[in-house]
Amino acid sequence: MIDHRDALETLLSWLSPDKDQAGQIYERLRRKLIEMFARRGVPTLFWHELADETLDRIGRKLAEGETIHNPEPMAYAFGVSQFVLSEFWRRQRRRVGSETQLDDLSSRDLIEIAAKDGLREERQEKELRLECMDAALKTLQPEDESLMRACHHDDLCQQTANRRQAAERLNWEENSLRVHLHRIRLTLQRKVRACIERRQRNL
Amino acid sequence: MNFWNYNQSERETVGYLLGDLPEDKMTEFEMRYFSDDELFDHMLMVKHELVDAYVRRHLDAETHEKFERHFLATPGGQQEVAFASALREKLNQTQPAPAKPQTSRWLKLFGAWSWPEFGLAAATLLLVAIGFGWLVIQNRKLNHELASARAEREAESKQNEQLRETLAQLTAPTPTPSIIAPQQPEPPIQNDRLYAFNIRPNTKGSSDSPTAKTETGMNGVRLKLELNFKPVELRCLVELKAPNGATIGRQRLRARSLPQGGYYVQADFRMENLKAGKYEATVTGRDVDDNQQRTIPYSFTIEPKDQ
Repeated sequence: MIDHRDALETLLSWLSPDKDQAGQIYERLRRKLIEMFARRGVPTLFWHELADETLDRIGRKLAEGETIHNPEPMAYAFGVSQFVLSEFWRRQRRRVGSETQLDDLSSRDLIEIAAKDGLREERQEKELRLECMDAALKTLQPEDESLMRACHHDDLCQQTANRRQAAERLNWEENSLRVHLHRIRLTLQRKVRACIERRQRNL
Repeated sequence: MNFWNYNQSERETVGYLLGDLPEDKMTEFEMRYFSDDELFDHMLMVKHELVDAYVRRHLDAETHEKFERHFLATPGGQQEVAFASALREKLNQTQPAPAKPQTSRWLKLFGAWSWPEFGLAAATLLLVAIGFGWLVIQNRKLNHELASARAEREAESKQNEQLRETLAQLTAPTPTPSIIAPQQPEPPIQNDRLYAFNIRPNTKGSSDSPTAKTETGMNGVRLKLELNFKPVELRCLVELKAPNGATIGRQRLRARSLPQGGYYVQADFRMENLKAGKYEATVTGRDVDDNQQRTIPYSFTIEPKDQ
């Protein structure tokens, strides 16, 4: 029986003989898997689980000595992810029965309570997100923060016609500006997500 | 729509994000971005721009509709939109700083200076450094004092909290010793006198089901129910039944974590004329480990007052 650690070790050495590089490829592959599962409509809760299941499955296959004919790890991982995804949807369909069981408990009162709770939670989540966004914006480099503000003001950087002019006005090359704004946004997203998770754990 | 004059490749990305591509093309696109890091990064960038355009109402009617039908229908899409809306709200709260040209800071600082100006600047810097050193020493001293004051205040606040807990225990009878310590103080319930029950799972039918004697003026129960699983998204449903089997109430609540590990859920049920008898409660939720629904039974008894 191959344990999780062996599977991971084998997978990493398959991705690259260089440990650091293997780690980077692994992280990148995991991000792609998560993004793909998100785009395919998988509920948030399962994105990481399915990505890890995919990676674990590949690692186990390798550790068991199975020959992988596809020389391109990313393409092979994509193939495995499709199996994991279709198995996931099959499992979800089987659970429809138990979903109904929970819904059976719903009386009119319960639905009202749930709706009120839902609204309250949504409001709380929104407030939390805004607080975290505020904190995240403050951690940006001052020039990045003012670039974001300048760009968002009057939707300056939003449309191509404007974007070209905006880039000129801000003394940037148009494509560099797009990429730079995208990177700032990725940083913000990562910080806001971490802040929300931290605050929810402490609730 | 003009879609910002996107090129062919970008239009394909937008098609993928909006679910416009046929299934085989969609899979083919995904295969490509799995093997091509640049395409993956580019897809993420176009996704952000698309979401921003939606939040700013820049999409034409057809794209807007597709966005809502496909992208927004996924939990991932909803999260992206929630993020973009929050970003927009925060950035709109303040006026933008004037756009600065992208020149080197050093060049901006020293580019136009002459040598005498450099000398003057160096002398000023030296004075500033001396002043800064003094400030650092003062700051350390103040920090030390502040830390001791904080420690004193924390000790005082802990003491106050303990006193509040003791007072709460005196006003609401707790039939079993508290195993559940909330992470933060509970808000006081005004004009309510509640029976408080802290119950572990699987007490239904067993002899250690907690009990309390009937008291006058009690108008509800506070249940702290320890869970033997972690609910998905910490959501669960608590249901309470009266001794005659009638449902007193149902509440959808969020579970909280116990300091020693594990989870509990707290529910307050207001009831006029609390009758003696055995009350049964259940907590229903999905177990995060296997996504299966779990229903945990609990019970407690309110005994008649001694004659």
